[in-house]
Amino acid sequence: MSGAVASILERKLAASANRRTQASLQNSLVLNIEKTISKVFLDLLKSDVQARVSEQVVDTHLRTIDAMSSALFGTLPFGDDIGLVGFDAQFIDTAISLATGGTKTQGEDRPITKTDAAISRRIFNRVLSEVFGKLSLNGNETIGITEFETEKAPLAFLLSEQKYALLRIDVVEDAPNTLGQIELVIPLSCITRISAQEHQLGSKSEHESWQAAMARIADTAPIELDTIVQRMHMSLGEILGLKKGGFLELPQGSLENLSLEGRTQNANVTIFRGHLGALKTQKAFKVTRVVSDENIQF
Amino acid sequence: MKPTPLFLILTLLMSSVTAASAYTEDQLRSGLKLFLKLQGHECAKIIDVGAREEPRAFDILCAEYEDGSGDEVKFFFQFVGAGAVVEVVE
Repeated sequence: MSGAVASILERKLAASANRRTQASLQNSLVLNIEKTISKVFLDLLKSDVQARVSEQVVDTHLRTIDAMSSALFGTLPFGDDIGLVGFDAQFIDTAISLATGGTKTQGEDRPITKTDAAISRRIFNRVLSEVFGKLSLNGNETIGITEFETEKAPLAFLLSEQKYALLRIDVVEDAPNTLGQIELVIPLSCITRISAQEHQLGSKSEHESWQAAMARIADTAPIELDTIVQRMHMSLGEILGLKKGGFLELPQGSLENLSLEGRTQNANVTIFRGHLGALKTQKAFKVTRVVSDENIQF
Repeated sequence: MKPTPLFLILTLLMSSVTAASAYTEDQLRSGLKLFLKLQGHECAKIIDVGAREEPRAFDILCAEYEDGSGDEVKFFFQFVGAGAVVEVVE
């Protein structure tokens, strides 16, 4: 009888120890997850968020979206090659949708790209590596992403009264037992900011693209210009009378009234006026006036 | 030989290569206006410019008057060789 009681007690003690171990592991996981969430997301988003995270108050964070992008995706070459410049409003939604199984919850007009997939992998790998690194798990765990919710308050944002996107990730040791959950919280205000930032960057990028292209062209685009010393009337006889070694007398002041002209289909267009000058040992056209009615500002 | 009323005494063909590494937006717009004018098109004020996919090509939206008012004309503009191809788009 006593043996049976002892056996029951041993089993209960063992079960209790297992529960404590499991609870301790879960608590540790949750703590690390919360720290990771605050470190990876809140600290890197320009978001005036004041949220309570595991008894720690996360104060106002003023880092910019740029800081987020460079910190998270510093090695990712945003640009023409991958078809994505910066962030857009649907980026996070797309990334989350991919992580939850590839079904987009909204915004069907934007296709999911390989870049989106790469970015989403970077996000979750970053979070998960920090979590698992601190927990020193043995590598046999499987990770399942179970659900994606919007506008439902997680603990981390209980006091913030903000709308947000919530991604819940179950960390599973031996199915169906779960070790804990990761809740990635992304304030919708951040998505709005990201959208505005993307719009601003898009406009700026388009604006700068033509300037950059035009600046490069300006360095090499050739324009044929004529330097005009004097326009004058001559008779055919005077022209026929000119011989090699002969002289054509220029009117007084000709060299003081030069013009630099471009050719058009109809007539020449005067761009600059000037006079004959010297640049070191060479003769030069010294600009004295930009023809105002041409509105040339070179 | 037909008599020439205007005789060009000295013509110096120059290739204008500007060595400056940076240009102001006004300079770049003036450059476009200059090329437009040399191609026989008047552009009192450039309202908007957009780079096109074609190499060295832009869409240029011009206003009839310098204050930006009047009729607007959109040009397809592409630097080609020593000149430019300009077409009125709309």
